[in-house]
Amino acid sequence: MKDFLFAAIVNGVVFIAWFILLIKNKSQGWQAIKIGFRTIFDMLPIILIIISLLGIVSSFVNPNQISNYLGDRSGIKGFLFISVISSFLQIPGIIAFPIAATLLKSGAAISTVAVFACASTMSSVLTLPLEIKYLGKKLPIIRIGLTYIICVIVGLLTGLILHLL
Amino acid sequence: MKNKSWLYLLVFAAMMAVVFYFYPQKLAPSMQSSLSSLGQFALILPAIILLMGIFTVLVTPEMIEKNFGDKSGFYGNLKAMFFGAMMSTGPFYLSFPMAKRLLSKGAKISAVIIFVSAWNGIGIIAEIVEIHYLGLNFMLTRLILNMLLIFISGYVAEYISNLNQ
Repeated sequence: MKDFLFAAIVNGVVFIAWFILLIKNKSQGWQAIKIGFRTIFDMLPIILIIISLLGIVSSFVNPNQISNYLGDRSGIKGFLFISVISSFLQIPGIIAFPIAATLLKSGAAISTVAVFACASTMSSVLTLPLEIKYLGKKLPIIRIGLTYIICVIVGLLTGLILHLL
Repeated sequence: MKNKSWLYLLVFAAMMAVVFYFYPQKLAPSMQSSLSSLGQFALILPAIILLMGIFTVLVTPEMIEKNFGDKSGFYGNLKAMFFGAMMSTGPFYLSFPMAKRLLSKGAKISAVIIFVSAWNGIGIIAEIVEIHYLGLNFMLTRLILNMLLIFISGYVAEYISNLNQ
């Protein structure tokens, strides 16, 4: 129910914003819709793969196993494992958060989910060569190092704060 | 290649058909869980589509380059973070050529690092998806920590990169 309410409000507000854009500038309004659909169409196969995979994995994997490896009982090991794994590939937020939610539902610790959400969206070791091509060696390496530190801190503190709340 | 990802989906479906041939009893629970998360995704899909279009139309790279400026200091870095969050609807790898152009136009290293990190880590659409999947408490805690640390990391990156000059 809460999901429906939130979605209804967000959809309503965004639709009004789009409608205002359409009134102010007709061609920009229609262009926005076209670009939006094209972008989501390009992402849709990956989104469908991830969503199906999440369903399949959660029907094969016992939640107890996940919480053993990634839950509070796993201590720092599960947290560090996820922090390193999720640093390798950049995943867009709209795909990363459904994965994060599945992890959380399956019993992963909050801090582990937070470090996943942070590192998977922010850092990408695999595309470091591309970043270096544009910005030289120094800045991307400094940035990726700092990003890892940021995500570890964000993960640990998010877990701590939400435990206290 | 746009069609490539649809090819991946096809390959994925074929692989899953093989899996379910051997584990037919897993098909129903997998489908059920996948469909329910697909439903959850569909709830906010209209807002995602419209927002992606609106941001792409209204927030152009030229506009950001014009307003980025070479002003240093707190305010300039705040602006860099804001612009990064506005651009985050585009693919993350586009942030590198843009960062290069901003650097060549005299932008400070701290501002450019903050811009790239914000582009990847903070985004209006991503945060809406995060609330939808992980709840407001989680999203707010993580977002505030993330913004704070991205901001600090800009200064740290600039300090480190100036060390051996």
